[in-house]
Amino acid sequence: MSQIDLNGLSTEKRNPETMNLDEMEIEDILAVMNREDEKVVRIVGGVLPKVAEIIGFTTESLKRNGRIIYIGAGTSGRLGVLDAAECPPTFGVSSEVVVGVIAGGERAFLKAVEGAEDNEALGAEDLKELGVDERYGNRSYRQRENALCNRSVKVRCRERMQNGLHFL
Amino acid sequence: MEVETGPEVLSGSTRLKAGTAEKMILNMISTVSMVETGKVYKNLMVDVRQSNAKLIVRTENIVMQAVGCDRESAKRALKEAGGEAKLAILMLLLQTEVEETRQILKNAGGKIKNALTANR
Repeated sequence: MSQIDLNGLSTEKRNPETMNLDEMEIEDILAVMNREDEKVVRIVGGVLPKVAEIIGFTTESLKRNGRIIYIGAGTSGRLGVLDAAECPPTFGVSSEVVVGVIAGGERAFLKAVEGAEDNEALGAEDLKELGVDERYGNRSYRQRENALCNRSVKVRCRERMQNGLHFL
Repeated sequence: MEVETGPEVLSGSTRLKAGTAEKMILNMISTVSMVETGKVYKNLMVDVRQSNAKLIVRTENIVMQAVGCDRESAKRALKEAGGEAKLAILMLLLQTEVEETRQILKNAGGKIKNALTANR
């Protein structure tokens, strides 16, 4: 496997505000983190038309008895599982309607499963279990991002390899 | 879509800002999809499940808020409706019996608003 290039990813760059994070006062670190988080709200505000478009697809899918499937590895997968888990109690829908899949399976939710995001067999198995078209099987979580593009929407909030969220 | 959240406070730790952005967007996707598919009446979770003590009280509150009734009426209607807030609300609003209401709701595609327009 060729080495993954992280250089082009903004999330991998160093933040000039925290070059000396290990020497900063607690209050100062908190202030920087809070300022950075404020930026996130503004950035998300800038992509709302895109989110609306995605919701058009998901709504259409649900109306045709389709599903919303979130797929991701690590934190991104965990957040998908979290969002999906809250739908049945909140909206009275079955747990099949909004589904969260994390690379490495359920145990990866609690404890990181190293290497899970690159494992083709795991990725294939997870999708097979969900009854998703076999064309999309036999791929690692990273490769699947591209393979699913025809029928899915990709939401990426971070470096390329870790975050792929799809709606089938 | 791609959301560029920029360098993290701790370099490369994307559970921070990137995770926050993702959480916000997933909240939007699931919530709005459910609103659009009729799981919400006004801004109330009318399909909420009475699965614990807190949610039992919340469900009563939802019925009270939707209908403008007292807790006793809400409790009574919920009991008859087997805990389904949506059904209880419609029973109280239309002054109908549980089975009739269930049919009305079904005909309205599970949407309180449609049921009200069709039966007023």
